[in-house]
Amino acid sequence: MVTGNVGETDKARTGLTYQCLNGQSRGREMSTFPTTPCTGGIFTTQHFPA
Amino acid sequence: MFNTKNTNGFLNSPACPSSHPVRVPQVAYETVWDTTKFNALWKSGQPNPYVWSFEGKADGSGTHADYLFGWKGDSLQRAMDKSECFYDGCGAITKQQMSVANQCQIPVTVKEETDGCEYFFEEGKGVAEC
Repeated sequence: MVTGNVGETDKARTGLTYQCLNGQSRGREMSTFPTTPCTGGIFTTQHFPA
Repeated sequence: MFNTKNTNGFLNSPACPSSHPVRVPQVAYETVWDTTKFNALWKSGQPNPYVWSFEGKADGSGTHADYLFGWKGDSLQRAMDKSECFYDGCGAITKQQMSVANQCQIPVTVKEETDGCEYFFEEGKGVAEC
């Protein structure tokens, strides 16, 4: 089961989203890695098929 | 289902096109990556220090998981036949409460130390030693 392409490093995939956690609150869904520090961790969602 | 092509949001599954008559389930993984122990590693204004580790590349861009499941009787087929599954529920199909599901236990079969890792920094990088 694969979402996205492991050979690609510069393209966002809609089957994989990120949310930046600050404390208990989740930020908006993003298609790429968070660009600001996430003091509560990083929340990822993968859908398959995507 | 989660539409990852157009709306990037949840919608009721439409009828399958005649060219693809077999409906299959869609799987969603939600993972919380506990990077809080490395908060000192990423200061505001600095670039993201984290990468996915996969395929042996230093800037690996993949992640991997395996999914095992069992469906009682014909429940999966019934879930696919009628478009009423939404995230963690499938309409009329009986859903087990998490408090009940969490009582299910099996003996540990892979004896591996996974707790008690110590984290420290080495040359500006986060390192874990277990």
